[in-house]
Amino acid sequence: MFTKKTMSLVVFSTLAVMFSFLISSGDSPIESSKESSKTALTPPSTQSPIIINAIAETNGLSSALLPQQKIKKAQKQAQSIPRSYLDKIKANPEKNSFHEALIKDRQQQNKYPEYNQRIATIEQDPIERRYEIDERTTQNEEGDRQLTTWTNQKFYLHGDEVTVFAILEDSRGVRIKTDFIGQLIYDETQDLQHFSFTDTDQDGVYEYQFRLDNEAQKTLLAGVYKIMIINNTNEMVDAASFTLSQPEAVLTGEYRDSISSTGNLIIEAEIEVSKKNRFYLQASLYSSTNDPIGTTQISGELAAGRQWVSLEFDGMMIRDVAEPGPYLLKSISLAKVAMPIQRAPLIYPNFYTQDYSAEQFRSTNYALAD
Amino acid sequence: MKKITKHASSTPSSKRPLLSTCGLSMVLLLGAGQALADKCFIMVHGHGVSSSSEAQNYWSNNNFSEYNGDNFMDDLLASSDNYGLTYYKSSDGAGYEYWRDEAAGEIARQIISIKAGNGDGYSHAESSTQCSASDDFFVIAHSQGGPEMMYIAGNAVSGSPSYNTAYDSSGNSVTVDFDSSMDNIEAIFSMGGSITGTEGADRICNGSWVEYLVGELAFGGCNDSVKWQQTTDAYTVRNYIGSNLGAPYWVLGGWNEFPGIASASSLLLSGDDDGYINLASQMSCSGSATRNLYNDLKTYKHFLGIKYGSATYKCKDSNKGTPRTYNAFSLDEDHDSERNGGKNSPSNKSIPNGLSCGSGNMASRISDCT
Repeated sequence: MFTKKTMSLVVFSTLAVMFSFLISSGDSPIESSKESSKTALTPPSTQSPIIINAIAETNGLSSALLPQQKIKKAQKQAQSIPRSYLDKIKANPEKNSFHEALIKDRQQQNKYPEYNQRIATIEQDPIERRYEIDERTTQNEEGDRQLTTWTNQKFYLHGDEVTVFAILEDSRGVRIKTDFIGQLIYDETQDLQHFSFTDTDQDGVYEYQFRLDNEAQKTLLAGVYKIMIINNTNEMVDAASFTLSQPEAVLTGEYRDSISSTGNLIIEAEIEVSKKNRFYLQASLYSSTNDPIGTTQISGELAAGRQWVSLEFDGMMIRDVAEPGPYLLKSISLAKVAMPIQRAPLIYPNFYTQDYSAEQFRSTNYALAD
Repeated sequence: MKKITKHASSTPSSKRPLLSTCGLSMVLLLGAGQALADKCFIMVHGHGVSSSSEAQNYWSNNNFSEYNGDNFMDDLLASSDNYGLTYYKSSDGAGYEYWRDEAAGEIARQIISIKAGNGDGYSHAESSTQCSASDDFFVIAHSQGGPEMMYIAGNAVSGSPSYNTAYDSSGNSVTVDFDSSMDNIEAIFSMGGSITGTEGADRICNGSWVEYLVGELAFGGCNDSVKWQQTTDAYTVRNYIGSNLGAPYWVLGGWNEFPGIASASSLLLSGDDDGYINLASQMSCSGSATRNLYNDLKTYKHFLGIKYGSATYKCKDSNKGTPRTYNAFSLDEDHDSERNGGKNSPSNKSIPNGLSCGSGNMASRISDCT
């Protein structure tokens, strides 16, 4: 590494000295230097004369040879010479894999507003992924037993029923008949309940069900709950966790849509807030043929009361799918922003927009449009 | 791998003199307006740091005598490269969760200051390595630094749940300009990051960690900081960010066990790991952090511990649990060598969408690729 970089700079320095000589010789410095820069510095060819003029001015080497008008032009152009890291690696003919990946990332980022993200495939829908069941597997120290646990949801509301699952398998993946005991804990500290799992259908999947806020329990606080799952036979312990949310806001089920003056799709969702707080909404848009388009997100403080929240989907993002409307507002994730965050279970509005043609939406990149 | 004399005991003028000469020629030729920006690596340490001196020593300190004398900066810094150290209290005593103002907020403010050319406030052993405002900025994070940077970048985008917001001990919001902190950050590199937590934290908080073995090396009990490094989604940072990041995020994973008796820690973690952190977490894979992931970032069926057949899961870029997150490398490094450059030439597994640039350990690969 040291050698490679050293040699590169030695070569660069040598060529730079040659460069300097050509400039000070007064023999058509611009043309001569342009050729040098093509091979030595390898900037984009359109930039070479600008660089030379700027150098001449800055170093006072041959400014007398240049008409004043040309110098002024050079100064102006010099200010616009791309100097960012991205510009430099773009100009580098020997890009490595990181450079290529970074350029690709920036191109993608510049296409849509930062709060909009394209969904490439249904499987990559980030909102669905956020709500995927958290199936956990842990092995014993000998590596011959593995315990898998999960709950049927990650986020619950008061009154919801929770189902907890546990499976014990050997190293071949064969389920083992055993006993599990469970312990419900709030915020890692409060021991709320002990129970046993059962396998009534004898399929090796042990279950325990309970309702949040049933008559036997005190009112449960919002927050993180852990279910310790213990298999004494094999001295194995793992835990499944879930969040009991109290989002203090609900979507009323009323939606309306329009196209903004900038060519983006606006879907407004009506929300009923029971207590002032900061809220976060994330929503996904699909075509009417169930092709994923993209996501949007919005956050901010909402006062108590009924109000409309705007979900904005970039016009270019919609055009890129090349499908006409109506479009499907497929899912909305609503959360009260707190520590821990209190998400409501995923909402499927089943709302379709009006008919639109793709041409009604903006056709330029977000970065260019702004 | 580079081993240029950059130890604290080395002479102050540790930058390469030949390169400096070349660099001077370059500056003279190009003029001040055309001088190439230097690279500035902003360093974000991991768990267990309680003073500024520990923050500085973090990148050369070690838990194993095998790595005595090694220093991350030796392998990272090429000619004209600079760096800035950040410091936040990450000790068990402080117990700050990653979203605290004292953690993420502190890091973001220091990043802004370093980018403004204010220096990092430390005397560097390597001469002339303070960053300037005109540098090209990269962030390198290790271990807990991974989720810290994910929280910052994931809340630096408008519409994200905690946009420009950290929290105090009471959960009250504190405004922090995450957005500015991510401006002009070309890339974030997370090495051995506990992005979706660590099973070690699970075991401590579930009371089943073999504390005499590695407990003292890892964590000091289930304090608030450790609690939020469990692998359940109720705590993981991916549940506390939006659908985009303020800077692209490359993940580097380690899968070697610790030297000596501490190697037993790997037996307690599912799948491959670097001794502390499951590889699936380091690489921010979708699904559970305890996923049984091999060093090629694939999950296979297995029989008696021997994998067979085609991979059932690939942790490629499209299977990340966090947005704008990309594979960099999967290396034969442990959690200690990742931050002190203790391994010269760890073997590299080819991974889906991984980078092919550079060679050597994590530090030298970041150096080479950027």
